Amino acid sequence: MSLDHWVNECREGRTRAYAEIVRELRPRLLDYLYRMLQNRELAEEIGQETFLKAYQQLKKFNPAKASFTTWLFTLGRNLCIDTLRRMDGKRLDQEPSITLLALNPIPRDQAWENELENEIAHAVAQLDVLFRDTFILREYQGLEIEEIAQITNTNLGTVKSRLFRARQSLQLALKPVLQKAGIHYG
Amino acid sequence: MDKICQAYQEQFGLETMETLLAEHGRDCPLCRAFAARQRALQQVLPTWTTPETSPDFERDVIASIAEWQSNRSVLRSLFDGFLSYRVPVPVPIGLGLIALFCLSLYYNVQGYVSASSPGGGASVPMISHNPEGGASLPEVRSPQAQAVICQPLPSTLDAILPYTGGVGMIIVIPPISMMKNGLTFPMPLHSGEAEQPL
Repeated sequence: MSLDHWVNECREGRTRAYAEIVRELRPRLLDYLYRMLQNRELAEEIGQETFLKAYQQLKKFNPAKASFTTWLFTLGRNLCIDTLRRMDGKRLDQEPSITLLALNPIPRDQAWENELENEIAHAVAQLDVLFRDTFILREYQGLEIEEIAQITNTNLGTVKSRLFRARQSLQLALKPVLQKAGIHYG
Repeated sequence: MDKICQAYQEQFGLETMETLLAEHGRDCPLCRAFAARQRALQQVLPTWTTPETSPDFERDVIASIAEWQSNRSVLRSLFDGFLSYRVPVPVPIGLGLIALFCLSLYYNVQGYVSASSPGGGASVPMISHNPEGGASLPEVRSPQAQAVICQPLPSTLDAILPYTGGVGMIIVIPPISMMKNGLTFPMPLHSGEAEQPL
């Protein structure tokens, strides 16, 4: 059964189908929210609010204007941005996902991957919120520019410009790490 | 940076435009360098993984929805239904009706005020034109004739305006059609269908 099928079922009043929608879209939505907020508990909290709000406003969803995924991401993004603003625009540092103080020595490759992961997360967290969300939607969610424009309520030119600025910033921030890894940096 | 270069670099990753960037990059070291750095960056981006989410996430979402549904008492549902009454009137027409209503209200109030004040009505004698040239004052035979002559004739607008408020109220408040995308009030419409508990 496709997502559209479950959405139609819900819109016709068969609300048990909503559980299928949550199951299908949870990984993508939470992936986006986690990368934006870099806090698992907060990302799950916003994710729950997003799904609840989507359910409450299901009758406002117009399939002719956007896909359900785009609409859901729009709700999630708005809640996420509101949360970040309530936190007074504090830049979030990533929560440590893997401790570096392991009792057993970590293999070199794993240590390098850990370092790189932390550096990437830190660099993304330093981006301006609007650049950050455009970058994440493009590079990690694989959305098209048109979809991103719908979600962020901007035009194509603005999306491209923000994406360019985000990429530029990250290239600069990660240059030492990449060069250290011997990655040819152009 | 050159605006042209930026325009090219903004196209990185867009299938339709990437060939243009590649062609431009043959002659432009800046864009060539940008593309190389971006490719290097994209090699490492997947390194950043996200943690597993709570296994109870879906259950918690369904529970929050069920809680929301149960919190909506019958009285609140009726209240919600009243508040979420959707007026299916296009926005320009709705705004026009509201403006008409306000205008009618204004003229009604003005008419009431002038009618209740003593000596209301124009009392300046109107000058009529003499077909043979020149102007002459109208013949005034009696105070009543003078009042009739001096009272300006009500315009069509003055005649109908007192009633437009009532018409506006009749049109604006009740539903008249099932048109979508109309002028809405605070909350979205909830259909009358029974919500099945999750």
